[in-house]
Amino acid sequence: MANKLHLEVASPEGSLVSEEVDDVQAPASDGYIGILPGHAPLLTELGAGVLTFTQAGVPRHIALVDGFLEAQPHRVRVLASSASWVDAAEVERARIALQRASDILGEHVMEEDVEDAEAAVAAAKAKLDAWEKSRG
Amino acid sequence: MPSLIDFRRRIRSVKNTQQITKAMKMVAAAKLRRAQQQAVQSRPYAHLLGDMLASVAAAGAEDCDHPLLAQRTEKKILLVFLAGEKGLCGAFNGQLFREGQAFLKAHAGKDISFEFVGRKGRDFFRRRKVKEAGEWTNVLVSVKFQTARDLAKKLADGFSAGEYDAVYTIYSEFRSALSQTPIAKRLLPLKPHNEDEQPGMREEFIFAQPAETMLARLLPRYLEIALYQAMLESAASEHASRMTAMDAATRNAGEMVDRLTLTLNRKRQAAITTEIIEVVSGAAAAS
Repeated sequence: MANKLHLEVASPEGSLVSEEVDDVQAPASDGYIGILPGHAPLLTELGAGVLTFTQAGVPRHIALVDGFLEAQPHRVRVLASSASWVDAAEVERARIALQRASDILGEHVMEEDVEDAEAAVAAAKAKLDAWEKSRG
Repeated sequence: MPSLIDFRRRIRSVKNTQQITKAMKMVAAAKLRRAQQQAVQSRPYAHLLGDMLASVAAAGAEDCDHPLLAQRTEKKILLVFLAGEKGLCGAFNGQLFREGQAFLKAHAGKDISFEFVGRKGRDFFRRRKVKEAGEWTNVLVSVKFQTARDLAKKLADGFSAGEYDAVYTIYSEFRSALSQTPIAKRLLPLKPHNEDEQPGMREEFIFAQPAETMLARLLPRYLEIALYQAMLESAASEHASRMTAMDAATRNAGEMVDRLTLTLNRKRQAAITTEIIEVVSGAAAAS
């Protein structure tokens, strides 16, 4: 257990992961950060992106949107407004969502719509990235 | 005097009603299970969020003046009223309305506006001419986190802008499938400190962002999850209440059918007896 991290990922819709992992890479708001066992206690905000963790040499990916990360030497806890495993069907949906959101951004629209559309773009991109990564 | 045909009709009608109440009970039970499951699934998130807030607060962000923590004299109050979407659920809605009216009485003289979640609350208080801030109907049929998010944003914006000095909510607390109680709670200003937290247990954290910034990001999330959980509890309570009510209705219908069948049989027997007596006495007269 000494060289393992206990990773917990929770979103309001449920807990996604609660497992022992070797390392974690998370999309902090100012760039990706890597966390290995023994990391100093850290609290940070997360942006939209891909959370990657390795179990016995096998990387796995989760698409995240907006969250927080709390790291302690042997524990990493992630809170996300939305988090999901990405599969082929999800990718299709993300592509459509990305298309639609980009269309909205292409037109001149009200400010609040832009905000929503940008969030949708970020979320869809996170899913597509996670899919790319999980396929190597 | 109702005839035998009338009795048969009556029995058939009661049986039909019984089938409907039975079906409604099953549907409510299935929906209750789903709402409960959702509530259970949201718990780890809420728990973690509470922990993180405590960490941030412990790191010295305690005395920062975030707009969502601002204490003001309560003059303008917003009441988020969560009630059922539909009727036929026993005393569920009625209890909530009573709680709502008690709240109005307790805060008489203040400027109270209502934010309705669920159709029934709106219908009830609209007839009583209260001030309406907005309504969210058909959202409790299947509770989505997005709804809670949108509502939380509206509340946070209104509160920060000084439109309201406090935000309360009335919803039904889900104790068990058999017991739900309406409660009134204050949502804003927030008080994010866990009372059961032991000081000294916390480690010193490195903050990638200043603690104040973290707090500013965490607090709205806290409001969101509080609302989401309130909505889930309210939905679960509604389904549980309906399940119990429909169960009772099904049982009552069963009893009614038994009683009617008994009366019907008695009448039928009496008719046969009369007929036999007529035949026998006719035969006796003839001989």
